[in-house]
Amino acid sequence: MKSFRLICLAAALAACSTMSGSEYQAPTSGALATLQIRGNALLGRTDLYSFDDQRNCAGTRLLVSSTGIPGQIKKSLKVRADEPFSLLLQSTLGSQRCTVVATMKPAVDKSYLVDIRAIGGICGMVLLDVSDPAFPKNGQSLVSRTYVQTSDWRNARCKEEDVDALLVRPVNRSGLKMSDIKDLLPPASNAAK
Amino acid sequence: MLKWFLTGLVSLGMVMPAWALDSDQLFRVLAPSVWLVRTLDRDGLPLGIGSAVVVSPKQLLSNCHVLKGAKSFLLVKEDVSFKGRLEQVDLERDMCLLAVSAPDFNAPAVALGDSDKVQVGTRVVALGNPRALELTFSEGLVSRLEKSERTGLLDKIQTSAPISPGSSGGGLFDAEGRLIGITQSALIQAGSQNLNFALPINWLKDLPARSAEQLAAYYAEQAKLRK
Repeated sequence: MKSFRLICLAAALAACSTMSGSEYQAPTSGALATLQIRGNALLGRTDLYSFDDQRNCAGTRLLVSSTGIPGQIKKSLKVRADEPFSLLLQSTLGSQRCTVVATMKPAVDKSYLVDIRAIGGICGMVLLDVSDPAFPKNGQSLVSRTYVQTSDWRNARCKEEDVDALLVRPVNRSGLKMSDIKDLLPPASNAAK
Repeated sequence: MLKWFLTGLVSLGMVMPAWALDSDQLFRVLAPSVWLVRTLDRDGLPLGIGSAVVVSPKQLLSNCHVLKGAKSFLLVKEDVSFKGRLEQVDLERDMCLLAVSAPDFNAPAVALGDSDKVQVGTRVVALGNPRALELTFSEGLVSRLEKSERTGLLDKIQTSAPISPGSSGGGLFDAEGRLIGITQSALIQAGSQNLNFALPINWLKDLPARSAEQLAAYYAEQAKLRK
C-alpha cells in the first residue's frame, strides 16, 4: 500500500468525458513495473485508458476495452516505474456513464493488479500491490483503494478530497496494517485470550 | 466471558418483547453507551476522533481505522474521560474491541440485535460523534444489504441514517434500541446522498478468534524479522 499514491483528478474531467486514443505502447527498457488488468464489465462499453499527460488529462492511450457482452477483462502490460501513471476508467450503458480517474506511482519491478468493475450499479477500480508478500492471503487481497462511483452512473465526478471518504474495503476494510496501530496492540502474551 | 455475556445479551434480546421506542426514549436509553474516541499522538496531542459503543461491561466496539497512528486514546463523554486500551483487533473487518480498566467506568452495555435478521426497510437510528459533535442522533432506513461475493454472507448494512467523519465506530440501532451495526463508512462524493454503511454486529461473535489469529500472525512475523 505504501507503494501507492492514489489521487483523483478533479480538473479537466470534462475534457476526458469523450475519449478516443491510440493503443498504449508499452515501454521495453528502463525501470519498469507490471500492471495486471482484470475485471468484469456488463453490457455496454468499458474502456480503460492511460494518459501521456496525466496532469492535463491529455494524450489518452487505450489499455483495454470491453464492448457488448458481459465478460472478463484480462490483460497484462508493462509501465514505467517511478513515474506517475494515470488510469481512467470509463463505462457507458445507454445514456449512463461513469468515469473514474486515479493516479499511482508504480515502483520498479513491482506488480500491480488493477481490478475494474462496471457491473451491478458499481463502477470502480481497485488498485492492489500484488508484490506484497501478504497477497493473496486465503484467496483474499490487501486492498489498497477502491473508488466507487455514483450508483446511478450519472454525473460522474472525482474530487481529490473525496478519495478517502470513498474508500470501500471489501477485504481489509480498515485500510490498516498492524504496524499502523502497533503502539496500541495488546502484548503477544495476551493476544490469544 | 465475553462470549457468554454476548450470548446472554442476544438471548435476552430475543426473548424480550420488542417495543419500538419513541426517538427521544431511544436517545435517552442509548446515549450513555456511546462514547467519543479521542486518539493522541506521542506528545499526547489530539490526533483524531471517532466513536465507540459499549457492548459489555468496560468493553466498547469501534472501527480499527479510528485508531490509526495513535499512541494512546481516550474515551470521552462531556467532561469525563477514561484512558482506553485496545483489546481485540480485526483489521480485515475494521472491527476493534476497546477496553477501559478504570473501576468507575460504569457505562451500560447496549442490547445486541441480530444483524442476520435485519431487513431492507427497517427503521434505524445512528448515534455517534460526527465531526466531534458529541452524541449526534440521526434516523433512517436500512436501505440495502450487501452480501459478500465470496461467502454470500452479510457484508455491509447500507443505511440512509446520516453519518459523517467521526461517526466511525458509532452505533446503528433498530427501533427497539438493539445494536445491529457499527457505522463505518459513507459515500460522500458529489451526486451521492445518504449512502452510509455499517458493519454487521454479528461479526462481534467472530472477533475473539479472528483477533487472536491476526495478532498471532503479526507477532510471528515480527519475531521472524528480529531473527
